[in-house]
Amino acid sequence: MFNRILVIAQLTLLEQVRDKIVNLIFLFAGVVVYFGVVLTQLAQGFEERFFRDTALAMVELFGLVLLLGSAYRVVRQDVRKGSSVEMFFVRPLRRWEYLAGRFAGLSTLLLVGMAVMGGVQLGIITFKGFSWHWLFAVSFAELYLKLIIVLALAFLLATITTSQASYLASTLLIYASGHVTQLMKLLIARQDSTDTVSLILLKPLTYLLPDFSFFGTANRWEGIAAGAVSFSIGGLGLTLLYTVIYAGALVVFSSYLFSRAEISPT
Amino acid sequence: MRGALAVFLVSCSLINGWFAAFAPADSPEELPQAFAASRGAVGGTRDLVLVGLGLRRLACDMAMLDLLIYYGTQEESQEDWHQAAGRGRATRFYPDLLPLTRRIIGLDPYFRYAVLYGAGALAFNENRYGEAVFLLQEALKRDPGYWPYSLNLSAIAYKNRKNFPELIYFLEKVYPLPECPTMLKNILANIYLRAGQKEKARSIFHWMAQSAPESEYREHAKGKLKILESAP
Repeated sequence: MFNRILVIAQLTLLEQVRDKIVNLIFLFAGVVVYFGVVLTQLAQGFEERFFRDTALAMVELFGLVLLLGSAYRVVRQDVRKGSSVEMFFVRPLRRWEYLAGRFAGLSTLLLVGMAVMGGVQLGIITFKGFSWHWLFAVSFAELYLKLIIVLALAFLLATITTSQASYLASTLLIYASGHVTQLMKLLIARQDSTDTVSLILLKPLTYLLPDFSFFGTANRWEGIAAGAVSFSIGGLGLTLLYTVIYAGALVVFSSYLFSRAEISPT
Repeated sequence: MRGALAVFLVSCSLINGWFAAFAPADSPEELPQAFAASRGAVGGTRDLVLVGLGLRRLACDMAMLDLLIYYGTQEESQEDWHQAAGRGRATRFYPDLLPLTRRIIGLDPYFRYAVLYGAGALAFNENRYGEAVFLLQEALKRDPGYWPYSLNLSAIAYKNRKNFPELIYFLEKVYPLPECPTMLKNILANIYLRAGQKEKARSIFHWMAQSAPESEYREHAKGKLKILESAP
């Protein structure tokens, strides 16, 4: 079973790395990270912080673009076009193994992509004489875990949505909502308790949506570096556990739905 | 199918509900203030979009750039400024200095450079002590352990009373910090000049001419050094 998943994962990684679009995204990410150096000239007095934030933001955005495009391609388009997926299923391969393999492959691709972008960023930090901080490593690890949750979410939505537009819109909407979950909770708490609309419509959402504040060490960088905000390795472990459980639940459910989906070329 | 969906949704909610208790506080209570401060301003929608994309710090950095551009765009002539601040009166220039700085604090409560910059500009350039004190007190509520805010409050009090030796004492404490804006260093150098401590002023201008990140301050310091050298 694990061998079959591994083979699918390797195949997915090779397919995607060979894909010109993916290579272009890597290249573009490198260029944009480099462009961050030019932009820092504007931020006189806080260049180091500005470069760090711009580069981390670019890594996140290009990671997001990379996984959104790839997830749709491997889950939906292959199934719709019936191009390669039928060839897989003539062999003794379960559908959930196919999906798990695809997920593992894209997770590895994301790791490779982020390592490339992180390498470019570290190179520029060294070249510019900016200081290195261990929070870089933590921020990258959290960013990767966050994108793993988004990847799992993209797998689920690619399985259940009927068009690329609805897939992209719903994924981005949930992605954005995940960043303001705490704000939503706060606003609901401040509402009048008789406001049933908030209670019925919004409160369940705050429980269902992913809470990306687990991955926000980069947002608290200055506070942590100055010792004004606490940081613990245990907290990072909890973030890892949250990712495994939440992304795992999404992948399991996607696999269940994928097993029941009708696969036929249209 | 429906049963599976229900089980999935309930499990996700339970997982999230349990984990939510351990989620680190991401200062969500600050965001409404940031959005309110930027209401009607160019960057308001940008802040919202960037926060939604998880790029809150980048939103904060862009807001700081807005502040630098706003305060770097000349709104008054040298004569106007001397008519007001030069005579110790509060100016009416740059009315958005306070809201723009509050917006930055809302996006990142620990961006100390921005607070020191905004409060310094309000207190020492524009003589708007009340606004500067309000800003520093707001910042102190979020970051109570950061002593330079308290020092700046003291410095403002002494500036208000024109007690220059005490003012120098407090600004000298802030001066060596890496997050001390060049503007505050320039203010300290000018106060040294007023107090007749030319050598200390010269050393600050010398540093500014060599190492200030802002080109305008480098040029300004070079001009000041020339004047100091030609003076008897």
